[in-house]
Amino acid sequence: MNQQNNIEVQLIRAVDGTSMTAQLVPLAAKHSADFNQSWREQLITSTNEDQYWDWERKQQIYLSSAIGAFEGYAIECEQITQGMMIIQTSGHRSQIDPERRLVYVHSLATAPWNRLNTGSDGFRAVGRTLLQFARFRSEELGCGGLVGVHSLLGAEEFYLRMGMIDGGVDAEKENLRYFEWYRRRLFQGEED
Amino acid sequence: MKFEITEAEAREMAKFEEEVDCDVSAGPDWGIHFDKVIDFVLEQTSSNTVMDSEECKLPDLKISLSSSQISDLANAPKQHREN
Repeated sequence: MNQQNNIEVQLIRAVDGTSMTAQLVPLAAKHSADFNQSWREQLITSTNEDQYWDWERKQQIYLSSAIGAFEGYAIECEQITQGMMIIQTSGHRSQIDPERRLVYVHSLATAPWNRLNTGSDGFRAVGRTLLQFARFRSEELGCGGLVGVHSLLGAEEFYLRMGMIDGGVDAEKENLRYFEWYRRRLFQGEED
Repeated sequence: MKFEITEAEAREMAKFEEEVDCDVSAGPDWGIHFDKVIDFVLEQTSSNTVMDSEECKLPDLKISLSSSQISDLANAPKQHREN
């Protein structure tokens, strides 16, 4: 099945609670450009040099050795990228039931102005909409809604309260904690 | 199957994010290098698309052989058949 096309979603503006229509779209060069023109400046920290070395190491762990097909999605609102997610739709299996395939969330990031820890007043519901979409793709691809994710420190509480199962820290992924949205098969033959 | 987020669902999500009070992120912290990850994925997906479209472009081949030609082929030494 091919990557999904444009989908209309709703975001909530933090400053006044108004609802805004946004588009969930396949990842494209525009999103990389938005990152460079709008996100990057707000992400620059005094540890940039460390980030360079981190890149080399992370590339080895998360990209060079990555298995399975990638799909990328972004949410656009007010002509700018509000969040991005990269998923892998093959090559990953449930930790709870290794016979079952799942959709793995490789990376998910929201725009700096949408992040609560920066005290900014951008949009809410960006990250969770992307995660919901990963679950939707899992159902659509016959994975029964199973989704796996490695959480950054500080986002763990979010995944726990979302009802995901804590799979413990993963030494192969820089000790990030693994979470999984799991549910039993509804009926025999639901999945491959 | 259709993906849909209504305004009511978006409001519930926003409330949840505020209550949990942590940023929704996943995978490693790519920091200022996230663009490289995007480019990597775009390269991967575009090469898959090229492969898909090349597959679509393959023409239908129709070969007509007479029964004697089929018989010749069947009886030909293996090396000949491969050539």
